[in-house]
Amino acid sequence: MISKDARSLLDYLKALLNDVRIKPDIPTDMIDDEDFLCLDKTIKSVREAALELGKGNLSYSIEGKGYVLGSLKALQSSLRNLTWKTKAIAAGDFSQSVHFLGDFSDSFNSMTKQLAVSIQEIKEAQEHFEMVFNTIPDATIITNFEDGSLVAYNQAFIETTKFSVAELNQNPVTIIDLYLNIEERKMLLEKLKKDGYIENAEISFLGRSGEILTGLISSRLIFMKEVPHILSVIRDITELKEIEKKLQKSEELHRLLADNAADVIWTMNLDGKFSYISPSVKKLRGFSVEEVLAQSQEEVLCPGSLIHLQQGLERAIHSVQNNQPFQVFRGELEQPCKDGSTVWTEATVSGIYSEDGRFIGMLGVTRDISERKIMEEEILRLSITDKLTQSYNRLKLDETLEQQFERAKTEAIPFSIIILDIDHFKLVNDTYGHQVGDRVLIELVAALTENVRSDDIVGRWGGEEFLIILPETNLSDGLHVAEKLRDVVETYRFTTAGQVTISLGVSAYRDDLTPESIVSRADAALYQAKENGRNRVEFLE
Amino acid sequence: MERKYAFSWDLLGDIAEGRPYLGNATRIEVYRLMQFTFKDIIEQHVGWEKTNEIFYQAGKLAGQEFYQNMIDKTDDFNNFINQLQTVLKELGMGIFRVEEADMEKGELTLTVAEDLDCSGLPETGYEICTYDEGFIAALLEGFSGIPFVVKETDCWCTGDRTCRFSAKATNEGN
Repeated sequence: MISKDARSLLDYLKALLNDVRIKPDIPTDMIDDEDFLCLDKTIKSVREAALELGKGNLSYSIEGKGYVLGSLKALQSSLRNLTWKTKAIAAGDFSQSVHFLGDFSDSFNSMTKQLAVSIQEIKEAQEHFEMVFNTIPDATIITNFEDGSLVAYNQAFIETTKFSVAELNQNPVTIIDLYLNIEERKMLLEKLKKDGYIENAEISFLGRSGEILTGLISSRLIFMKEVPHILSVIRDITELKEIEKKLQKSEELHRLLADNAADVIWTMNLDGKFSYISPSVKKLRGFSVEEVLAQSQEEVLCPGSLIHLQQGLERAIHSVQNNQPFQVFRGELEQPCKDGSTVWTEATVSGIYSEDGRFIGMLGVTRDISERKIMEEEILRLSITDKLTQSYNRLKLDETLEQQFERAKTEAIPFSIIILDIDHFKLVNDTYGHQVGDRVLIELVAALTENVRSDDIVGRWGGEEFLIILPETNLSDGLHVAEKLRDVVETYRFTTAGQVTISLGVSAYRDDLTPESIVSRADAALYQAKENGRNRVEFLE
Repeated sequence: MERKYAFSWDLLGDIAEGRPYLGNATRIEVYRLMQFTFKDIIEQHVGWEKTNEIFYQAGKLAGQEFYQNMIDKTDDFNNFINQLQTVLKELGMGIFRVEEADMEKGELTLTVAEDLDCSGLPETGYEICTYDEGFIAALLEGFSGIPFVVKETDCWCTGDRTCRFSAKATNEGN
């Protein structure tokens, strides 16, 4: 049991240590006791110091002395030192470390080391970013998302816009000032808000002197100190656009010329496909441009001409592979038309090269040569045709004879010839005049031609003499043909002249003969037929 | 006045040569024995206040020499403090800490725990680290070039567990 006074004292001390609010009154019996008052003061100081330290108030001045208060001061001192060290670390001094605070020292020092490493990594990353930012060959800027103020720029930006660093420092520029059309920026900001990035958007912007520049802008939304900014890389394509414009103009001009030319102008890739063909192809072949572009090589050229295209392509590929210039090709080609007919064209093909000398395709001009072709054929026909009788002339006969002889010699295919002469033709001329005589010659040719094969050659050998070449015909068959012709003529009734007969000499190829001797032998046989009474067929044994 | 005891760092001698077996190590009691017997005799001769002043000045001289010989010159305050902490710890002089430092104002609060002079002493009711005060004042002046006045506010001898010093720059040198 303890006394009432002691109980009162204990309650007071208990309240001092445990209660939130302390009793204001010191027990009456103790009010003059100096030791108690000292104890009371110390406990109250401990309460206050513990309370303030608990709240984190490190600047609180702990009053009083003694072991407990001293320990609280030591704790306060450690916490103050930690605060100072933390501030130093925050200012970038990672050499700070804590000792003699048990596990806390290790944790703190480990945290500082890790922080130093992290800050170093960030610093290196920042240096790396700055190096890339400054050396990137395209204009690169960082702008404030809201007001467009220029936060950072690289050397390429200076070179592109022609601003000087001093100018930009003295008179801060906002990117808004540099947009030619502010609506473009609004659209870009909308896209940035929506997607967070922009890639290669074409923009027009102003340089220092108001010159209009064209750029491809790629942007990313970034945050710097939690404020939205835009990192943009702008590729200056002003010169490229100028070249593109010029090229476009040039291409339009060339296309205008090509589209309106009578000739067909085309370009072709090495795979043999048209990459362009002028609309004049419709007039030439009846096909539209679209139809021709879709056609295969076989549909573009007739079989006989296809080989030229294939050889041309092979040459082109060979030239490209061997770095040799493409040799200009000029040739006549037959091309199919939409209506089923064909058209002869003359094509001139040359190589197309890029600026760096690379072969990139073929350029062709195709011209309609149908009329020329007809003229050429007519000239050819006239050169081998006897003007009066329209049968072949001596030139064609000599040529054919040579060909047949060579063929017989090399391939052992026989042929025969017949030389015939109108009997008493002089009498016809003398009796009826030369016009009737000419008429007889014409009708004779018609009769002969009608009664030989299409491959047989009927020609005027001279005067009223004719020579017929019978390919793939031996002497025996030749004699049959000659006899048939003699009979046909004998029974034919010529205009005005009436009946006319012919004498015929036949000879055939033998390997011991020459073309001349074959003709001589037929001629000799004809002479013999004349000698033997005319209107007959003879041959030499 | 004729001088025979003018201090120089050389007076510390060549310990390695002079104490090949015992080396640098000695007991704190020996250091304290010498300091407190000095204090006793000097106080008897010149009184308490003068004794404190003598020890403050002696600490200051020690601080000047210590700064010259043990601290690398630096303009960086943190680096200076780091060096000081390290060397004081290595020499077993105490655990030196900064609570607050405002060098622009020239105001600092510093602490030394496990102090060579007083930690573990019986309570005397008054601060006794006057030697430390002078020592710290000289170190701060060495670093900053500005004279400092250092006053001990808490001491083991007054019942605290850490010695706390308040340092303020003065205009003395200006």
